Amino acid sequence: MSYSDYRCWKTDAVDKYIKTESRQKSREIFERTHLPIDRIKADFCKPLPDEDYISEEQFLDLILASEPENDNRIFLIVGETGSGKSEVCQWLEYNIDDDVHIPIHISRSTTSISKISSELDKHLDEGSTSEAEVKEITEIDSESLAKLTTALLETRSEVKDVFSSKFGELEAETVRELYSSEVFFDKLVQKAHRYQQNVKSEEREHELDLLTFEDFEDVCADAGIDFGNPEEVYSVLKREINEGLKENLHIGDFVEKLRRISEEYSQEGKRPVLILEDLTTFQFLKEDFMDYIFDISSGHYDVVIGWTTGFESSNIDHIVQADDAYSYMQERLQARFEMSAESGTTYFLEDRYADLTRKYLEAVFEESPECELIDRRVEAAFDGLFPFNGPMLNRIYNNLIEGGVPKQTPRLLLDFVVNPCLKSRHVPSRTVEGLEEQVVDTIPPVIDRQYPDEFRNFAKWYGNYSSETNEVRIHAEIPEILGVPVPDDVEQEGDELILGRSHSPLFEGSDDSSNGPDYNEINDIIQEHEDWLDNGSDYPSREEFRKGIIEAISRVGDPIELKNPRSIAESAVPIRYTRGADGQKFPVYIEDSGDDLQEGYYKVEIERDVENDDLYFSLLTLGIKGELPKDSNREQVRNWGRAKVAQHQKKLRSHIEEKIGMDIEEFVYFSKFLLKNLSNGSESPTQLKDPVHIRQIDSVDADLFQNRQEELVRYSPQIEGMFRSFFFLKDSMVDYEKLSKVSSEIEENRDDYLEKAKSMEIDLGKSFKVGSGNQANLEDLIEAVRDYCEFISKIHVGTEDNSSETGLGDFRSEMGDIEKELVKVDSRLSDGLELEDISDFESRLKNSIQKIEEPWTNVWGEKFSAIEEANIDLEEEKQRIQSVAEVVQEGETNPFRAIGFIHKCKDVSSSPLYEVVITVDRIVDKVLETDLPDTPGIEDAISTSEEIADYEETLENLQTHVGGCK
Amino acid sequence: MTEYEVNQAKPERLLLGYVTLRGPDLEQVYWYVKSNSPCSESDIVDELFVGAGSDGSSHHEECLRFLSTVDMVQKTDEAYKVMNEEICGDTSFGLKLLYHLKQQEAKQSSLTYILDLISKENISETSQSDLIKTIERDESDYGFSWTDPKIKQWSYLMDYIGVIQMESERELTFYPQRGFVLELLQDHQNTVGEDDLASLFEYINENYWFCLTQTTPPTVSVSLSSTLLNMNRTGAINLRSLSDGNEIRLAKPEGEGYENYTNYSITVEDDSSLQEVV
Repeated sequence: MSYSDYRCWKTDAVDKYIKTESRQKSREIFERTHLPIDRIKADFCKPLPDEDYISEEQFLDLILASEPENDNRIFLIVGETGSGKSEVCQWLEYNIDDDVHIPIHISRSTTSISKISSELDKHLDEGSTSEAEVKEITEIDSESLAKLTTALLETRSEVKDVFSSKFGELEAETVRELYSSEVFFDKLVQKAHRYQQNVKSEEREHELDLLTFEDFEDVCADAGIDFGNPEEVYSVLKREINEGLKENLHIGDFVEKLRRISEEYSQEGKRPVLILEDLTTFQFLKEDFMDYIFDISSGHYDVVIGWTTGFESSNIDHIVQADDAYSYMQERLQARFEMSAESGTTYFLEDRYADLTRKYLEAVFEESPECELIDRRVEAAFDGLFPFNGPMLNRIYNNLIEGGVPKQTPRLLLDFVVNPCLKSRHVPSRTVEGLEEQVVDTIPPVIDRQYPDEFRNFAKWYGNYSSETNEVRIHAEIPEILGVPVPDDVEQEGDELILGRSHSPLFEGSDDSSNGPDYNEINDIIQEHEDWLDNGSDYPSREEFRKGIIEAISRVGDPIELKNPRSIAESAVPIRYTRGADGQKFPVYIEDSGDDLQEGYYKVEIERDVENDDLYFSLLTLGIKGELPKDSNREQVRNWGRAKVAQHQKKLRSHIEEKIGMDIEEFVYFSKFLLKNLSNGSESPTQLKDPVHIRQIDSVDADLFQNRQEELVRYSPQIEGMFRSFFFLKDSMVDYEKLSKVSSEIEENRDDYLEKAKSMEIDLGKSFKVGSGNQANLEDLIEAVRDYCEFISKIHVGTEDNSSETGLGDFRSEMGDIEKELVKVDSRLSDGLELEDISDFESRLKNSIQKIEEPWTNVWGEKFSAIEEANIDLEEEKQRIQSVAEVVQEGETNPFRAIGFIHKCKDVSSSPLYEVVITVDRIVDKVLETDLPDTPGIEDAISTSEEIADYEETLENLQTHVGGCK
Repeated sequence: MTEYEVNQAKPERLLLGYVTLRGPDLEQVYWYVKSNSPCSESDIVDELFVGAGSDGSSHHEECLRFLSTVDMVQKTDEAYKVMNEEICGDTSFGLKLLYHLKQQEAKQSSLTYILDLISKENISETSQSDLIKTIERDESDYGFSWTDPKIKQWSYLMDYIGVIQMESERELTFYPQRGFVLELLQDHQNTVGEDDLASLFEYINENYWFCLTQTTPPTVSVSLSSTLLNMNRTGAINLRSLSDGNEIRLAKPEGEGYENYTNYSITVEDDSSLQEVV
């Protein structure tokens, strides 16, 4: 058998029972299909102040509680279109039969003013009905109507006093200007014409509103008219237009008619109950109607007024003439009831949509004799809802939409889903598929991808999801009766098919929209996610997925940070890749989703891989809900996150290392060695764990380097910080293993690293930063290191100047002076020098200076005193000076040793011995260069004097001791 | 076989009282002592620490005391050398440390006690505060109060070993890391030479921590099960069910249900490949 064998119902019966308007049904049909409405929200209810919800029975009791002579009592009933307002009104009409209360039911289908007028006339004595025949607006062409209306408006405006009092002096003149404007006239023609067209169609709104506030604003703008208080002007103008319409249509005094009905019934000891399903049915009379009704003492009515959600907020100010329309109304209402919630759900239907559907199905089946053949087997399989089942109705109801917005109303369920499903020869799941995105929001498949698409679509409607077992179960009879082929590998347990779930039911039926997207948006996102994963379709809503990816990865690491993963040193300064990290933690590329991936712009890459279906769904859930689904594989998510962190870090690291031609750790270590070598001349790249002190660098004569060290020194905090981030576990503890390994490597190949550093490429891009606060560009830092290495590689000592080496002239000149001094000092030093020799020499020099009548300066004296006080081993000191001097003589071409030499030069040049020798040299120079008085014989006298002889002897002695002299 | 040697001069201080100690610190000191054995305290300070007289000097003492307490180093004649070196063979420091922690008695067994409790309670994730509540509910008399700093120290150490994964200081997940599990399996095969799961879990229970959530039928804790089953799914290991073997129940990572296996084999060589596979 196939589905067609079970389609027993008659199409006529479907249309007979499942109709749009309850008023279109006969009383018998209405009563057969009416599901008692037991849940109407009481926004407020003065007679029943403690009730949050009331039933239709309670509503009826409230109405019947009035006495004929009571003033007007007004009950407002608000709800979405199709949420059951008409059903309640119809039910009230049928159930008001206490011989006192007389229902006057103006249904939504009473679309013309003439019909309303006739309906009211039924309640008046024949002799008191109006004589003039009410004209239908459709009987007058739109242009004539506009002409008549504007003519009337202009006539009314001529009564200046009245007109000015209505609009105010200032505005009245502008209103006249408006009346005479062409745009105003054209608008009235256009609106009248549109109304006439709408009336021909049942689907469209029938309200005649010749000028909405938006129209008014448009007209004013087009006509270049500006009102001081447009809202107030509009409110008055609207009534003026309505007055005009009433006159043109011969409606007469509508309010008077209502008053007479009230009076006549009152005289009979009865009370009219005016049931107005939708206020807009009164069209341009609604303002008059409201004025009359809300003047509570004006009549003896019970009034039930229905209006659609949203009408109240946008129209109430124009309908009710009061400064605070809402309060004015609320004070006069008995109660305000709501059929539906803002979220779109209908209160009475929330857990009764299946009961409601069942009632209609039963009525249709009873009308179709062949349906007697539907046996218990079918009933049981379909939960008594054939051709639907419980899960399917649940899914349909929760996903009902109108205009893309959630709206769970009986009308949408019955007229727009149940009706077409019953009429279609296709199985309902297929019909509903066709309604997706129109009446039913798209929902994703719930069973695994291994099943054919047709079966997946079938299962997503009929399947019963179980979060406990992570399975989808379907009664085995359902596919058989509907003729849906079941794949061979589907397991069966008892009378149920068991299907593997694709995802958790986390989002099913959820109405928690407080956080992130609402239920329907979530379904759209899931659908797009699935389409992307299956087919690589564009994925516009991927931001939620991206959020989940970022969250999952961030929980296990930071993919854009490069440092020693074991380090928790607070002084560590890691390298960070900052591109695209604004507003989110790191950039993510989702393959085939519409994301861009540019060369050199590194994003964490997410592959479109169907194998990762469950994992990705968990991440999507994390993005939407902020938490993983209960049944997610958390270990897998964590491990995936760790892998992503590692992969991305590796990619970033490779980019840097390819450019610089060495490991980052080697670069950092070598950079710190450069700093240390520069700061204290250390030639060995070991023992770098202690910080390099910048002030030691300052002590080096910067002129020697022509400030070429400045950039390197500028980056010393970053180099130090990076050193700590790669080689320190804590601020007080190094990563010994790592440090030893890199230290040995660089120690063995120190000069090779200099060559490597000279050829580093620096075009890393500006996105690699060092540090978090005052970030430095890694690119600039590498450039500083490279330039410094290039410079120092040209430094050498004691060899001929090579003028072809640009930029070294000053350096070599400075060095040359030091070199010369060293050679001089060295030449004066000889073995066996002792402190007594120095003291003795000092006193002799003093004598010699006195002889030539020159003062003995304090500075000289201090130099000699210093060596005495220093208590140094003169022999050792002499050797130290000589070893430096040897470098000068032998030459040094290695840059690190040359820099070491500079430091040693500075060191020995401050040695007391060095300074004494230099001082002696200066004194001797002074003595020998003294200009003697221009007196014949005096030079001989001096040269032969005892003192000079002493000096020469002393000099010879010194020569003996220190060797060499000028 | 080499016998486990207890350090006769071990400090009394509670192992959970070294609140600033972290795994890398201990590993550094241990490997330094091992590579330079015997070595003096000043050697250790000179090579591993910076800032003489600052935190470094006291921190190295903390490391040495902790390692001495767990019988991994001992001091003789003012010099340090490692202990029980042969017992764990060529395993990582993390596995060595866990083994040594398991050998401790009385209050010093508290570090592995927490792991045992997590298996017993079958918890896969919890907060630091909830973990304290779980411990307190268990009413094991360790004679000290379980405080946040103690749990924090424990968490960092266990995370470093690989037996758990810290989400943050406050949020803990107890899935053993895949590299750690791989080494555990390799250690079992190298030491015992078997490939049946019953033997594996007996080995883990005896030498590292009690990883079953119930013994009849033998059921592995949900956290270790998750890691093992995911490694099986990605092909890093191969779990099999032989008809004549002793079945062990592994809880499915997605929540409900179990998978039963009897034997295993390792199909990846090192843990670097584990991070590449999902």
